Amino acid sequence: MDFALLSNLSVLTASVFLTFATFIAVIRLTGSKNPEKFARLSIMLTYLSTFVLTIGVVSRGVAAERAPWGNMYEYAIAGTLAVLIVYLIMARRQDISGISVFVLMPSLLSLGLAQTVLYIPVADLVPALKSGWLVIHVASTIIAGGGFSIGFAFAVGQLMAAKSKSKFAAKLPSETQLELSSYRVTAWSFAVWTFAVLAGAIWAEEAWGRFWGWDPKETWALITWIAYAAYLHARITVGWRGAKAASLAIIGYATYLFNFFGVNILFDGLHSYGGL
Amino acid sequence: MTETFSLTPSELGRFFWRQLTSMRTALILLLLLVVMSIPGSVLPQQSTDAFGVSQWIEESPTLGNILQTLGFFNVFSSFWFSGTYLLLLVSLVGCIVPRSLHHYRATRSQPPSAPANFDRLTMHDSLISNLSPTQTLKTIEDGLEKRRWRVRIDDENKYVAAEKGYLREVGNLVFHLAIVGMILAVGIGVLFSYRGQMLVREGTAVSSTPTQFTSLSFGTAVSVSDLPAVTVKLNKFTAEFERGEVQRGAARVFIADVTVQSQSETKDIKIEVNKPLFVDGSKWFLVGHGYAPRVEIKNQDGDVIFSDSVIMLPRDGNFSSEGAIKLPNGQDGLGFITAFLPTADFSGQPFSIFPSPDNPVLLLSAWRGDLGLDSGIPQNVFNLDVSELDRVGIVSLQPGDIWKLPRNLGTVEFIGVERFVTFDVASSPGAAPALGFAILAIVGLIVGLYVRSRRIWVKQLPDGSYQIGALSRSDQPGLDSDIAMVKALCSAAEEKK
Repeated sequence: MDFALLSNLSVLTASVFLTFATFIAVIRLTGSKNPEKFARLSIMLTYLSTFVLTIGVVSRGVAAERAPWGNMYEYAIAGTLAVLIVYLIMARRQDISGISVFVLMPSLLSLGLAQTVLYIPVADLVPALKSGWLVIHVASTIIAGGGFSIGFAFAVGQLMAAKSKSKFAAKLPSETQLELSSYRVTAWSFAVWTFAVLAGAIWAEEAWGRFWGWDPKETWALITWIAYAAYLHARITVGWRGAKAASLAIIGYATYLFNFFGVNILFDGLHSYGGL
Repeated sequence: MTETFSLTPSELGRFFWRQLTSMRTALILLLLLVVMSIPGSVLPQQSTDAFGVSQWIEESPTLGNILQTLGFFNVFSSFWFSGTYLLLLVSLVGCIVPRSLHHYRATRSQPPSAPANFDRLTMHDSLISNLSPTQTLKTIEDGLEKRRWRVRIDDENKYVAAEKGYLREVGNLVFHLAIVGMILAVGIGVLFSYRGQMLVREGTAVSSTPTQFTSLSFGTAVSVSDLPAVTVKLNKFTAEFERGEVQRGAARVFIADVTVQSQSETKDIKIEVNKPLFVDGSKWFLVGHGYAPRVEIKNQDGDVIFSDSVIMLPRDGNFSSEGAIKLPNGQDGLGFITAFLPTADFSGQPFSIFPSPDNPVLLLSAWRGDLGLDSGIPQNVFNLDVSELDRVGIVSLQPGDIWKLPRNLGTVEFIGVERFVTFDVASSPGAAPALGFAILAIVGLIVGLYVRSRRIWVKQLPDGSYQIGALSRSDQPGLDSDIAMVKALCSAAEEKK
């Protein structure tokens, strides 16, 4: 069986389902007579997309005979899968339909970029990446990234809900509720991110003989960590609660994205494994 | 000057201390660190890319020199970056220490009194009990105590006060103190660390003595005498590269077969990229490799004047490499600029098209004259200054080829392809304690985030019913289950009766 082909077809199929899920979520948000029905349909399609994308990521790993996150393409598809899984877990616990667009659209964009710009066929890894730490370190950044993405979506929702005049505000949960949801998932991701940076430092000590060397990737991982640390402090600081804190969560997410796209493309460093 | 604004020095000091240790200052310092880190990733940094720095300054000297002076090429050791994080550390300690003392006192005191107005608590509910007032409060007290709450009955005002989750603040404090500990461990560890680099050719050995390092730096608390007596002989280096269509030429396998001789033992081992060698407190990392073609040079009489492998530094991903051979002999010195192409392509400018030695070619350009090695001016061993030399000739050789130098100057033979590897030798004793603190920080973080700190009060109202109030001191859900639990305690006791 050609697992590489199965993987590519699955990622493509997942994108098609996700397109419909996003489209329906947009309809729900912009005005439909039966919002609950649309929300349910969108979630169902997201389940379908996530299931197929799981096949895509796993079969990529089988084809490559290693953890399927060794280059930018693989990180993008595995990262999107993590976003969708965290999204669906949250959706089981609470009504998440108000912010689903802010999750589904970026996810769709990510899958689209993966298949067009970032795509590379299955290949072996450079020796530097052949380590058990690849599984632990990169997987934990992917999981944390999934959580940060959902935290970001809640924070965007929170900012929109804060503008009570906005058309969508009525369709969103309360600002307080969005704030709390954003905080919970972001704080959890922050803990996972802390672990990811630590695991990276242990690996760096083992592979390069120094646990911290201000490589651009390391620097931006720290920037993300500090930005989110600032967010966690801001929401309990007088004068920073609410919208300002939410903006910090959005800035934190931007630094995370920059570490993936910007650092891999713009800077030359020890983490140049993008495959571009 | 008006009286209202005058402060005594100690008041002023207290004011600044309060400002420094406030959360708002910490927040602003955190954001400053974010902004300050960015140039450290955008601009080349002295510690990681010294060549990039000098190139940057060469290209734009005016701005380059200003940035150099302000420490922008050394961001993470610049005065403004260090100053900011030191302030942050002081602010952190100034905040955490009083909080620790406060929490210590809180853990030894009774749960606080019930608030007058339960409506302002996170949650409140009513409770009707068939038990007598004393029994009700007693039942709740016993039940909560069994569930490890700290409980107190106020007989006068007829309420139970209970608190649980003191560990949350402990987690918070441990997290912050562990971060401070980690930074200190890293900082102190630097004093006790050393780091150097060596180039080793196949078939040769290097020992960890200062002269054999191409670069070597020590922390303030260690010196040359702390280097362990270790000799490493490179028996063979294996490198394999991707030959398929996808990522053609990318590295796949690097293995250095070495014989290690330490004070205690001699052993054969393999050093790989993710498998460094640990020996006598030092770690040896395989960080690079290249080619060292073996060359034999004879003079016009046929005497061997040079026979060795010559390290050539790789210039691109396909290992087009450059180097020099210098044979000083006064005015009759011989010098060669050398280039090695593992898989040569001569369709245009000669260059290498694959990193493995599939079609190895050695390019030589020979020069004659005074090489100036005795002038006392340090020279780059990989570069030949030809400004004072006469050109003899140029040639390309394959393994086994012999070049008869013009003017009857002798012969050069390209004997074969050999390799060299680059080892980083390092000792960083601060890593282990830093790791310990980092793990402690993560444990503290998880405890601080997920242990729920909460208070519950059950108060008897004048009409004989009760009111339950609960206050969450964390942002985790679950307060409703606490209230349900209190209610269940009462109904269970009612059923028993």
